[in-house]
Amino acid sequence: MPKKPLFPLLLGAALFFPHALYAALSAADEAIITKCQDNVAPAKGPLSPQVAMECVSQLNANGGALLNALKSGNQEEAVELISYNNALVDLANITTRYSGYTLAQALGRELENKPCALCDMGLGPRPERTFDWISVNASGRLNVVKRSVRTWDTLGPIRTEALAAEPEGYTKDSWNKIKIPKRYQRLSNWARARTDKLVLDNETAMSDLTYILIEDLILPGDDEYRGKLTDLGSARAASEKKSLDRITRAGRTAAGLKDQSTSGQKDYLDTTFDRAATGGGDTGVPGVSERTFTPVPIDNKQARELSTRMGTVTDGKFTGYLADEMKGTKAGDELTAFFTDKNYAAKGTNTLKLKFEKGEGATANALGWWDSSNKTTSVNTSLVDDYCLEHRITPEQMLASEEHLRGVARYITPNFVHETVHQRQDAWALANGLDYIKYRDGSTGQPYQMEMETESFSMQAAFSSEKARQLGPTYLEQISPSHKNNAIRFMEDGVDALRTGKHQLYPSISSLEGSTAREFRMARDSAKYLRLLEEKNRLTPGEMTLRDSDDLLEYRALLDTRFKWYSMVYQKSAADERKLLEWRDSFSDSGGTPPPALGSGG
Amino acid sequence: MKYMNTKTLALTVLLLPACAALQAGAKDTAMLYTEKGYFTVMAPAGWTNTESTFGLSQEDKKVFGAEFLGPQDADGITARISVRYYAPGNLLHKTAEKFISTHAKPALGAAAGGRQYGPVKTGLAGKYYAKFFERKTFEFIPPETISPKKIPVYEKFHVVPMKRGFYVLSYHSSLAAAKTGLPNYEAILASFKPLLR
Repeated sequence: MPKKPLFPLLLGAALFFPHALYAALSAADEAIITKCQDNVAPAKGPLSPQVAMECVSQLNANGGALLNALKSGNQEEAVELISYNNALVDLANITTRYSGYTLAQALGRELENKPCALCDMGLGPRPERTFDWISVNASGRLNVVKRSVRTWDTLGPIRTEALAAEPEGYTKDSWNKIKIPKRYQRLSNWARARTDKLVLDNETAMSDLTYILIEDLILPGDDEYRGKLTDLGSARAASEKKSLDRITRAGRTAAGLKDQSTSGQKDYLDTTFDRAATGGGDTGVPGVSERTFTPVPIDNKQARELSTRMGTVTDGKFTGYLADEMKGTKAGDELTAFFTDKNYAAKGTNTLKLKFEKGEGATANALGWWDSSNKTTSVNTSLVDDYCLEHRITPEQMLASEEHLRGVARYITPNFVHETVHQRQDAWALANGLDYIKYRDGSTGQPYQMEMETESFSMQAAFSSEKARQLGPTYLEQISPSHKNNAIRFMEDGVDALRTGKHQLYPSISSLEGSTAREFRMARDSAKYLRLLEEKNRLTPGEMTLRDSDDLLEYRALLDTRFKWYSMVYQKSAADERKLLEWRDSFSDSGGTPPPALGSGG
Repeated sequence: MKYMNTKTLALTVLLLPACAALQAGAKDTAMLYTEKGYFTVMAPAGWTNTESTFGLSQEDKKVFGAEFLGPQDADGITARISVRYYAPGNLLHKTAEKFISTHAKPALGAAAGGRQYGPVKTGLAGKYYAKFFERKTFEFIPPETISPKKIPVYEKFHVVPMKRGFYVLSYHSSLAAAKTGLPNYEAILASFKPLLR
């Protein structure tokens, strides 16, 4: 049945029966949409996270059939329905999965940045506005959330009296009006000042105040002050504690020493016994070298040489030690194919710009990173320095050795896989027109959300798992402990093991639900304007100005892109997981002694 | 195994029996949780059910269940108890034997980095025959960093085979906080009732 001639009629009907716009929907689908709309209605909405979760799942079931139907109807309603239900799912996950500073950061991220979908439903911007909702929907977590966001009533008398005496003269009302990060910053500032005073007064006794100060000294730069608190106390007590720690540590480690490699034994002994650290005396352990080693950090020239030798793409061919290491694995071959894909090459999105550089500031402790603005994959040279230290070689010796170049490649490839997946995500977004975020430097991108990390971690873990299957368990000793752990987790419980475990460790990144809530909330005004233009175009086409016509096209495209992004990312995450689980199946074998056959329960 | 002889034994001895844990307070505040058509358990008070809405659905994976989250410790490790039914043809673990072989011994062939695995024993989940085992693993925080902190983690699993498919109940916690949360797991275990036979 042709749809267009029916539209004016349907529009009229929609004024009285809002869901009449979704004429193609079955009664069951219409009931779902009504339930989802009612759930987030400002006046009567129960704001149930369970209903919201059901809505998100059902909208995206069957390849997003219901989502597409919704999009073809009243987009303004659709945008709100999607935004608000996703926001409720996100709020439920944040308040149930996290606690402490992690929870505070996550809530601050979603409540205190504009636009805030939760705030439209009365759940923000101050976290105190969520407490009633939490008491209904996650009652067991209310105290955890209250303490985590540092609401006044949970601060305790030591803090509240101190804050009241500060120049700002804080009260419950004025304190609860400030943003979450500022609460933490304010408490950190106070704790720093009180720590300095304790040091000045040589206050050595541990008290409730000391424990509170330690609790508040958790921001970057607070380490120094925590150190000051730790240093407080008598020199005698500190000395006794140090001796005790060393004896305990030595006893604990000695038992496992025989299982370590020679270099591992040497590392342990070097750090445990002063004599060995200064290079003198006999360690007493046969086979452990007495030779001292002074680490030499890799310099810029050597780092450039290493970049070139590790990986380049020339004439559509990916070569170098990284390419060799990746070859013959499912994840590695897929990413090699990405580097040689002609369609991506035509857009210049699969160019490999590999750079070994020292991480600084935010990247100081990172293994590597993908920078979407300058299209560069970076590997932290600290990793290379670690490798050289572990093998007691200089960068010069490493660069002269085929064996060590392969060793460096083995050590860093899981991270290179992780970052290359991010490059491919950017290329995929551009190829599909989903890069609608415009940055000041002229670059574009899709919204960055946690499912992108899930894919990167899963691909990296799949790669390491397959290598371990090919090369045996010794491979696991040649990569970093966290890469090894990711591979084991992936083999045990698939993508979910990495999806649920990693988000709390990325406090600045929204989940897909949180990101969807924000993207569709941002599109709400556009949807409203578009609805007016669509009505005008249908009812009084003669009154459409040139600008109206241009805007109609522009805003249709804008809304289309948001729906397309949501739908494609959602479907992609399912397709990625299916593929990765199939790979995982192919990596499993029944090696070792089979467990006893089981009877059935009952 | 050394681990089983020391830490696990100590934990077992110190814990209240499962039914006693329920009587000691969990019963009054625990909430009945029903995974429709698959099982019921009494979820501990204050622990919340959570699930992901993206990726493959439960129906796609043919794995149905719930994960209850408890307190998060100072290192950021959240205690969790999961109860899942793995239907025949599921995408995660084809059989109960396969699940046990993947979790009760090193999944990639070596107990790397200090992981420890206890022996597989026979016991009960509710009134149902189960295989159970414990292990010590690790989390690395923060991820993808040069010097992550290595946090020891305690895990316990009960695998309940059925004529069609199987159930798994599991407990995950930082080793430091394991003893505190374990009675909640024992209480869920005692209340477990499969709805499939």
